[in-house]
Amino acid sequence: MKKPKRIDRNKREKWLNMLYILPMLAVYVVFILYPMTSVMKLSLFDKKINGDMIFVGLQNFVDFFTNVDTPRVFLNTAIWVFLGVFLKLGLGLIMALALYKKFYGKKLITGIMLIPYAMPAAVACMIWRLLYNPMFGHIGQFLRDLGITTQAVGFLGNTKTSLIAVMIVNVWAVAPFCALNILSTLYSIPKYIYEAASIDGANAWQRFRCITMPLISSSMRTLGILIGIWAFNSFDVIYMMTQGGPANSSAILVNLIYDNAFRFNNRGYSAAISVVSFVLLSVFAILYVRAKEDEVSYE
Amino acid sequence: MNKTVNKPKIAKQIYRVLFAVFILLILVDLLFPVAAMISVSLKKANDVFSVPVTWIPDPVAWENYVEVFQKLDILDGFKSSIIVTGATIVVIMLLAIPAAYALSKLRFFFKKPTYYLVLVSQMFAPVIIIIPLYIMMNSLGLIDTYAGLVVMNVTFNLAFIVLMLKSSFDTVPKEVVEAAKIDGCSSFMTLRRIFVPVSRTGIAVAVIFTFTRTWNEFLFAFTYISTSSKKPIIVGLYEILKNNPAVGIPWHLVMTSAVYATVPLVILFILIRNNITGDMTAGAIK
Repeated sequence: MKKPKRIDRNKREKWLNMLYILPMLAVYVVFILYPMTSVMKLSLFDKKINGDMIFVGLQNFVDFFTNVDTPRVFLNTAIWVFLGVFLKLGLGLIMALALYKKFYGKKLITGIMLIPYAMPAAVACMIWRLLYNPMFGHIGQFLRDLGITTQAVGFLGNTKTSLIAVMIVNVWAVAPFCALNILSTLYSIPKYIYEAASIDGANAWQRFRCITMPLISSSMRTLGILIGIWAFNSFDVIYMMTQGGPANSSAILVNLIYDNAFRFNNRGYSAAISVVSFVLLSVFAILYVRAKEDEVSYE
Repeated sequence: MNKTVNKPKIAKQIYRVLFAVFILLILVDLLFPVAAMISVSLKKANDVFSVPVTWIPDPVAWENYVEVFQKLDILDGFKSSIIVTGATIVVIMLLAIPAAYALSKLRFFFKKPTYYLVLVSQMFAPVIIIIPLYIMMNSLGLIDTYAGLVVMNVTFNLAFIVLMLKSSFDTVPKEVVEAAKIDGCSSFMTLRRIFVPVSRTGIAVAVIFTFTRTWNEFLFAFTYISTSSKKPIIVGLYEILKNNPAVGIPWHLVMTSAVYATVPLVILFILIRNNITGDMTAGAIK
């Protein structure tokens, strides 16, 4: 008699408690999961000018993979994500190690490091577009002052440099954020480990290589995957700087999705690129969940 | 630490100078775009285009900070940004606080799948599903409305904020919930009377993050809003750049508005800087 009653109450409580998350789940189902399925459906159709939807099977995917611009865009995406993550983590680590030391004005600098992160992307892009301007930009002037060049140089308008020029803006905005994250991981390493190593005669480099690196590597890996995902998705920075141009030289996959959806009105084709991006992101997502599950703690 | 004592004094001095130079380099690297923004915002219209480019404005045009309100329509932009951001904060907190509480302290069906759904959903950028979303919002009549922007901002910030609040609620001991239950507190009362007051710092940080992310949101604000008086400040500024050739842009006024659009965010971030690394990582990474 007693036992079933308790199970009943448990069950009732578990159902009732779902009320807390139902509103959130409703938002997800309506505005994320449902659109996700319709983008997959849309990728198999072609929309004609008169509004008819014609089933074309995998034709959109075939078109995408045989397009002459596609290899370039894949390469750009890989450079943007992997080189970007490498630079952000590398510079972040260097800054974090510097800030780990005690020195005068440290608090102020930690505060200043938030400025690039807090600044709206649109504002940062406006500033950098001015800085990069070939005629009256500060960067061109700096290069002329150093005597590196005497001409006007336009990094954003050149197919060879546009991607790197935009990446510098992104690295500038995200690296300080990485630094603060790594710094908080560094603080969580107990001091006595370093003291013990010093007593054993380990020098600074040995302490860094044998203590710091192994202990922060797992949280740096999670951070790396996360900022890699952000980079993959960062449509707005590239769009505001160059709109992916000139000639797709700075476009990554998400720029193609947007351009085909709103500029060229190739909705089926755009949806096919969405599906490809979705598959790639899923790989990242699995890596991220795995990385989170086996993150180490220090004590 | 003790090792350096034995080193020659000169080497130690050189090391300290090099370290100071290095810190200075970081500072210059982080701040020169900010310096350029402020410098250009104080220049006269024609001085922006003069070559060689200077960093110190001469003469200093303080009047830009007043004129910008007459010459560019930034007040409408601020109004739109404030309405959208404010509404997003209210809606997102109403959805996220109960959800984070349930994920942190309550037992319910499908708890693990829900958690993974939240975790994974923040990885897929809105641009990937922009077409179906546009079609859906269009049929709901939400294109070119503030409500449409609020719905999108809520949807795509929800996961981040839920995880952030959950990590804040996780620090409240489980015994508190049990004690409250024994005293006859319903789970909702426990949330309202105990969790919300105790975690008010965490909630404040979450509010500020919602504020920043909504204020900075570009994609939906740019694609959904066509009436120029409804455009948030960020989009309004971008369109000045988009619709003019580089020499036709009133750079000095654009940078003045950029200063106005950035200052509130920087102040907010400096206020919560001690909570940022902790809660930010908690929400996004740990």
